[in-house]
Amino acid sequence: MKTCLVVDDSRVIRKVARRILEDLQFECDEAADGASALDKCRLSMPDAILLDWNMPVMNGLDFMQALRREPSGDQPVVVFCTTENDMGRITEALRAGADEYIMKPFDSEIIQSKFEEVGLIA
Amino acid sequence: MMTPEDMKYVAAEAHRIAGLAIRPNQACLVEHRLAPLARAEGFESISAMLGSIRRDADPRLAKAAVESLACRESWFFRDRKPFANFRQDILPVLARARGTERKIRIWCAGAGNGQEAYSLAMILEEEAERLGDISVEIVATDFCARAIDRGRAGAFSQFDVQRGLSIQRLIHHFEQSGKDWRISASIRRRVDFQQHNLIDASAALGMFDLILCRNVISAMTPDSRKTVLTRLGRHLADDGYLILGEGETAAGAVDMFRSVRGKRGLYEKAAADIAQAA
Repeated sequence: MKTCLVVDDSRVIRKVARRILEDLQFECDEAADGASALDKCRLSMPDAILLDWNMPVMNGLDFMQALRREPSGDQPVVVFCTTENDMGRITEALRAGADEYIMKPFDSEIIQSKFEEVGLIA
Repeated sequence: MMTPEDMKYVAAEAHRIAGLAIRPNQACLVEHRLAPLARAEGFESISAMLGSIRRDADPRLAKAAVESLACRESWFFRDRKPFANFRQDILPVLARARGTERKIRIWCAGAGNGQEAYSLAMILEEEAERLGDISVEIVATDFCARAIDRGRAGAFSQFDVQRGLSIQRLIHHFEQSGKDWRISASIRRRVDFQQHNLIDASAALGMFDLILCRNVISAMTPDSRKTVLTRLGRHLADDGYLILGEGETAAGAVDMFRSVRGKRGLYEKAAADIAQAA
């Protein structure tokens, strides 16, 4: 079973995303900000990370840049999932090392489609 | 509420005008599709609109009603596999076969809002270097006028561009336009949208090297299916290909097509048909 870390400061979003991902056969863990997500990744690198941008303590972009510098930090597939839907922000995230990008609001079809794009599901 | 007589009438008209198969248990779907039209046309109910169509024998409104029933939802790179086949197998084969003519013609029959045609156009743009000076024309037809308008505009919602499209393709081939995402002019130029009813004569469309008719015939009655497949066959070059939707077969026109081994939904012309034509 593949693992996915859901990083979002909204408990509701984490719950919705987690339910969708569990239906797609992912084993999920959650973090409410970038700093605690980084702690979790240091303990165990997930296969995938669904990542919000705007969060307290450490935002998604800062987290991903820190993650990519960690040992094995290049391994997780990072899928941004954010209300930021401006072309400039999307390219910024991709340049910084994101693999896919979801613009909120999302549903199960979008998550499935985007996870298929990056080969997380067949 | 629609009466059983209303449903019978709708089913008969949908079959007569567009070959559609409407079953008695699809009342909910039919109401959902016809309600916006009835409202827009100023009727207090669907029954009132249908009554008016029958009384006045109003062909414009009858056609508009059937168009509402025929409109289908789709998404970019739907089912993925046909598009992978197109890029890896079909396109190189056709490019070799048309090495002299330097021209390939593709028909998206029942193109909906254009996602299928634009998906092909994106692949063509990505393969431009390998294709060299071979020109590829994509003709996208649909029975539904609204779908053709939307296809021509090439503007898609944030939801639409996140189903089937990678973020790289969104960045490369789209531009932001208010709340929507508009496919780039260079992709739009590759697709020619035309309103066309698949059960009507279609000689003006000409011959094609590849025809895609996906998730269209499954909504039709068996006799209309056969009519459409036969028509498609007449527009297909002897060495051309036909792609049907997942779960659809050309079984209704076995003398016309045979399936390509190992590629579900992909058909080539049957030898018998080629001999007959020659």
